[in-house]
Amino acid sequence: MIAALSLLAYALMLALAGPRLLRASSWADRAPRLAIAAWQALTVTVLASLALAGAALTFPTVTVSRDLAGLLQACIMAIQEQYASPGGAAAGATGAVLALTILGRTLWCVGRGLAGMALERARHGRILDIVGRDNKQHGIVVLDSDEATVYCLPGRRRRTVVTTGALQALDEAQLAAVLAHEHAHLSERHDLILGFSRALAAAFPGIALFRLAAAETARLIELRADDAAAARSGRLTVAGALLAVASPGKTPLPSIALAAGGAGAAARVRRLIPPHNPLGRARTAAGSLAVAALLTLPVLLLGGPAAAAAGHNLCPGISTSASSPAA
Amino acid sequence: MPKFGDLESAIMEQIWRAGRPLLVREVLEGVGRGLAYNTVHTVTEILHRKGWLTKERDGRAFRYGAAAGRDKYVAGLVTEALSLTDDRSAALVGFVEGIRPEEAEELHRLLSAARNKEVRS
Repeated sequence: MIAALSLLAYALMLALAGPRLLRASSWADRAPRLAIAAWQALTVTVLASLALAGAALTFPTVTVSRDLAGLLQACIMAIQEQYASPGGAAAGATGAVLALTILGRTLWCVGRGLAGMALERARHGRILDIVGRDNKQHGIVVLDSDEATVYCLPGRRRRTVVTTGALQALDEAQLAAVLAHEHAHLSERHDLILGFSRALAAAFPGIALFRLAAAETARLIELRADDAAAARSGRLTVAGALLAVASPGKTPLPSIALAAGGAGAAARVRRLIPPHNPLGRARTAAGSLAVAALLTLPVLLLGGPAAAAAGHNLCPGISTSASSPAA
Repeated sequence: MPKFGDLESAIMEQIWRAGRPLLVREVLEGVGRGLAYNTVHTVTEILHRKGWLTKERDGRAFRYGAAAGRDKYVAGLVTEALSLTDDRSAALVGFVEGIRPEEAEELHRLLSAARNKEVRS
């Protein structure tokens, strides 16, 4: 019970305070890769804590025994005892529903999201195969369109697509910067990270944490790819390339493109103009440690109170240390 | 032997360029490359089944025409790419969205100032 309550409290605290801490932090834009990891760790930890809390409610803790038969016997007795009382049975049932709902909903939505992504990509790719022109020199696919745009199609047959409008707007150095940006997306599988965080947002639409995590992940992967491109081509070249592709040209951009991310694109250019100011090594290491701690704490919370109560453990848990004989 | 996808692309290219429905024989002449009639016929039939080509009888043979212009397909892909910013899907990953004209102007100014500074230093 103590484990379940502390896990629930941990999840609640993270869900409420986590986004505020991460969004208020000024380091996220200076270390986008760490910030991406922190957001994913935050969402995974909240889900895992809730699911583990459910499991802790369902399975009573028992004294760890020396041998498996003793453990099983103690387990059965503890379960019988818990479920003999109406209160214990209700808590157990609630816990089971909580754990299974979270696990099931997460797996279902992530699976469906990734499958949908693969289908959409395959359909897009089939059309691209026929109407796109291969440019072997740059390793890109060219689309004949005045609309200046660049995007990539991740997956097994990954491709970077550039429209003729974008090719006209970019000079050689800027094109190299754009391709480095897309290469970072492809090689670091940003599509999977984004797909995962969006699937969680779709799975639990009521919870602000997941919505924020998806939005921030979408923003941060662009910053990360900009940094990767800047390392190759220089920050001002990347800024120039962004402006060249994003600036409204002869053809007016569709209103959705402007409405959805006008501010985001401009903020990216502004970020690239001053000299690079990455997060220091010590602070990056501290941040990485914090992310790791975030993830391991629920496991400690689950095992901690049990261990403190002299060798108690979760019922189905297999323990290697046999501290006291079975009751 | 060209790849299958290349041949599909070449056949569509031929028919789009002609601007009218073609016989398989005419497609073959355009594509060239010493391909067998049957190969071109099979792939044309597949394109018809996939909805890229329409098919109409002409005497004892069939004429295949484009179901839609190349521009329409390209426009469809570009629209999908430009609407990536809506939270629907992560199937494609873009480079950048649009910037408002006023803001673009200001950023151009800032950028050239930074470039000048870099050159001088």
